[in-house]
Amino acid sequence: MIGGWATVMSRRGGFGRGRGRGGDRGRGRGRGRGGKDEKETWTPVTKLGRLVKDRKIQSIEQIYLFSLPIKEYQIVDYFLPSLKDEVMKIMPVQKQTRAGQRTRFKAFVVIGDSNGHVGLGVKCSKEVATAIRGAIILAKLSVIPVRRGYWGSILNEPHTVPCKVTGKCGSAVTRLVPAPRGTGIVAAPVPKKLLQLAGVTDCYTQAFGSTRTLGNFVKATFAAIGNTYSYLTPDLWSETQFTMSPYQQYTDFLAKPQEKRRA
Amino acid sequence: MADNDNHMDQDHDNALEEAQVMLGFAEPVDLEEHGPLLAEDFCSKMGGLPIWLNPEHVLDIKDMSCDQCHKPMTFLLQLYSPEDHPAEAFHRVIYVFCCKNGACHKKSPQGCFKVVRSQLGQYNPYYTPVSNDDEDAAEENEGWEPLETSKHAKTCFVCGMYGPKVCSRCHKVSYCSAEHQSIHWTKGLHKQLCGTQPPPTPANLSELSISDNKESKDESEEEEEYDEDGNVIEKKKKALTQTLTKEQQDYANKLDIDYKLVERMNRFPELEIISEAEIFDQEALEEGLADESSGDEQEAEEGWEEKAAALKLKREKKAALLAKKNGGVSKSLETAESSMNALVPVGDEIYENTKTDIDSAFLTFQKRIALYPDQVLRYARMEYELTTPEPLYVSDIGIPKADDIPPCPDCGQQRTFEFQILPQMLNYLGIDHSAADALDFGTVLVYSCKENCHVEGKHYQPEVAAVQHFSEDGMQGGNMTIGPNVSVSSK
Repeated sequence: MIGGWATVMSRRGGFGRGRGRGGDRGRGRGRGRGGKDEKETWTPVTKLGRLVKDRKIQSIEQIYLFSLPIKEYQIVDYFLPSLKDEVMKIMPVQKQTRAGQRTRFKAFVVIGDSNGHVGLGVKCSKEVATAIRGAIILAKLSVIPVRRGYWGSILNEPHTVPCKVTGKCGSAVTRLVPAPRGTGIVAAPVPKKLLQLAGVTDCYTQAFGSTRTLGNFVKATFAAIGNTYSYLTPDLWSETQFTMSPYQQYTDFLAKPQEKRRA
Repeated sequence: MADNDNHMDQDHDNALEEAQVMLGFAEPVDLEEHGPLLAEDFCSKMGGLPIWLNPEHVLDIKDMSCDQCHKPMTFLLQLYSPEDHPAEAFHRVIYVFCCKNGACHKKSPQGCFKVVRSQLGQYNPYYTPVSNDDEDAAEENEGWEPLETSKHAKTCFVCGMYGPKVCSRCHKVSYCSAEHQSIHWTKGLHKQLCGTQPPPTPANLSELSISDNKESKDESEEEEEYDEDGNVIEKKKKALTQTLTKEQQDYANKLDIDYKLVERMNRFPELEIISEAEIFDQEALEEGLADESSGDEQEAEEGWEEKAAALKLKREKKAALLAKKNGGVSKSLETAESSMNALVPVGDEIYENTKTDIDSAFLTFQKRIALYPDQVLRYARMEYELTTPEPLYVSDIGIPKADDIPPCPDCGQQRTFEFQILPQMLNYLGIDHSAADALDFGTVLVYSCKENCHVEGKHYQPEVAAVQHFSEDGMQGGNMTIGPNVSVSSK
């Protein structure tokens, strides 16, 4: 198909349908540009991506604070380079068509850095490898912060969920309960993997409903982990001092030298 | 992304197929090899000053003012896109202007992007083919050169539009408005150089650097500042050099962008737009556009388990190798990106289950640009016999409908899609993205009359630009609610 194109288009490069004119400018790219150069660097598309590339944003927590939507997975890669992914399950799904059955593969991927960030990605595709790749990207885009707290005395680092949280998806319900230090994660293998990647050291869990449906079970656990930051605990009762979003932070700084210059 | 002609059989490959898109890339002007960009090169470029196709009749600043703030618009890009019909469109350039103030874009998308079309016939009083004794000089000529008899209108030094006003001191530099005159006087340091050097011609404008202070012109409005100026100007210069951080300087040097010139003259940095065809496997992309499958899918028993297990082993081995090479956690931006480079989905279907902040149109957009990540422009009108491909939308909302695009005022026909500007271009404009009112868009779709109507005496025909933004933009700074973005369309 590409060969057929070459014969139709007898011109090289340039914009427009007219016959080639002008000099040799603008046709094809210089040497060294069409090579590996672009494959390595990331050209951001969204405004948030541009700010991240300019290193104007220091941590991913700033993005979470203002609930800014992350549309490019390279942003997550930049802040969390040590993310580990785990393929939970590859499930073949079939659809009946006139010409027989069409089989596709659904990949469930869980990603996390074992220190407060997890993501879950689900992707369906004709090939297993493509499904896994796509699921990893979706998992990165859905990375969420995890709040950890204490069971008893507030010593050392937080090790368990701050309170009892629950998440539901379909008929599967997962409940996470704080546990004393040294308990470990008391859970089925599926939520255990998720909690380990989240960085929760000790936790009791209770599961209800049909947990054999792995898709719903893992989504329910993910929802429960996400709810840790949605829960209003008494230590958050004090008034919050609102800070400026990354987009406003620098306007004041830029404004001041301007005035000096004009004066 | 959908084919217009899905009903056609797969066997009829030639008829009614979509043409391939030509991509535009921004590259620094190669001064050593080709020299600065001139009008007779008929090139496409972005930033800097506009190079007028018709040097005698140039745009007036009154036509190119932002509808919101009424300030003169900045030149964004020009595309040389010749056509065969009509004969008057032998040379054809599309100019795009935009308002630099992002707040105007946020207030209302209409009127912040303006597009005009300018065209010239093959035999015109401005350009002549380079004297070539070959018979097929008309087909593939060596180039063009300007005629000595061609007249040049006076253009403003700052923005390049029609400049009727002139410096009251040296009478050599032209301006379009008092505002630009004062910009040149103060920031452009014309105060020091008024009357010292001859005015630059458009040809050598791109060679100007900050250190060479060219003549300036000024009107006598700022007489009082003269005395203190000597000192103030020095401080200003120093302040300007300090504002760029090291990373910004490296990035700017890489792209050959003279940020200081940009800042002073209120222009965008000048870059050339190079074209390259987009080569991708359309069949794989078409196969991927499968139907939605929901509910009636069941688990299957097949020999896929071995494949999945083998794949898992391969990935673990690869991960172990990478970990050894990088010595654990990779900190730099580049290595993190390169290790994840293999995960870009190539030509896959858009069906996805996880609910994230992306919609299917954005996912398609990402997959398409992943082949050439730094493209800034997509030109669709490439062949006469084939259909023009649909634009690459960046979101499901805000897609301009046929009613939103006004028809051509001269022939009354519907305007068709010609090209679109991608958001990667914003990386090359030298704007400060952290400012709250920085310029931002998802994509700018340019629609133009496909007949290239020619009206005698009217040298610049207005065309239409429609802006589409990304969806669910929570960019209001501190606003915690994220709802669907206001759908935008531009008249």
